[in-house]
Amino acid sequence: MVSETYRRPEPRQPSRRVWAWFRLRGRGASGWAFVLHRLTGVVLVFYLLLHFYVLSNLARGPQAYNAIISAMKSPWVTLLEVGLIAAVLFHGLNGLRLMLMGLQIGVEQQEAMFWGALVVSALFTVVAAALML
Amino acid sequence: MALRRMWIWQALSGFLLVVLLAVHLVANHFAAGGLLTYQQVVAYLSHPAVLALEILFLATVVFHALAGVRALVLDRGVSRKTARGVTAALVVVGVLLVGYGLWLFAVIVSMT
Repeated sequence: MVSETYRRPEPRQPSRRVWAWFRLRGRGASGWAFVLHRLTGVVLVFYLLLHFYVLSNLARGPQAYNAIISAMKSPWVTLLEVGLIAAVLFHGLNGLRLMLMGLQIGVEQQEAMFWGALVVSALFTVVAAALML
Repeated sequence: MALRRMWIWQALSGFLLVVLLAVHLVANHFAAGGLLTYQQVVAYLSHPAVLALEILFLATVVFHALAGVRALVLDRGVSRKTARGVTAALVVVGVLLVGYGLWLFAVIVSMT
């Protein structure tokens, strides 16, 4: 009988698995924008905490602060800082795009705006890298 | 519903951050000589307007970051009770982080 084999479908739930963020097939530019926005956001949260920790050396006096700033001048740290600049730029520009979407402004151009955010952040990252490295 | 309402605050704080972060980065790393020494930091924060902007930046960035973390967690479809717990925990974290930042500002300003 049909009633014996029929199972009520599970209610549709928001995805419990982080991996679902990365199922990009068929989701186009907005899918990529979503994943990149989340990833850069997570990176920036960790950076914020690290920044707070590094600046805690200010409370330990001039020697401690100047010592940690000297340690930060390593090329590896500079390389990470370039990555940080890329993350900040993309997250900020795509955030502006999301804000416009929410306000129903330029919704048809959302894909172009995503590519714009990507290209502009890449360009500025290259400029910053050239200045810093 | 809670997420939708929060979205507006997330967007507003994000927009404010675009402006404040630009000021923070330019002022900290270009205009004030890079703030690479302790004395530069102390001198920089001794300007009341700078201090006010940095405090606003601190509160805004902590709010925006934790609201983002909250959205990540709530997006995974937790129960209402868990959601409330997460929000309460993040409020505590936020108060602690802003408190820590204010304490650090106070320590630096007291050096002038």
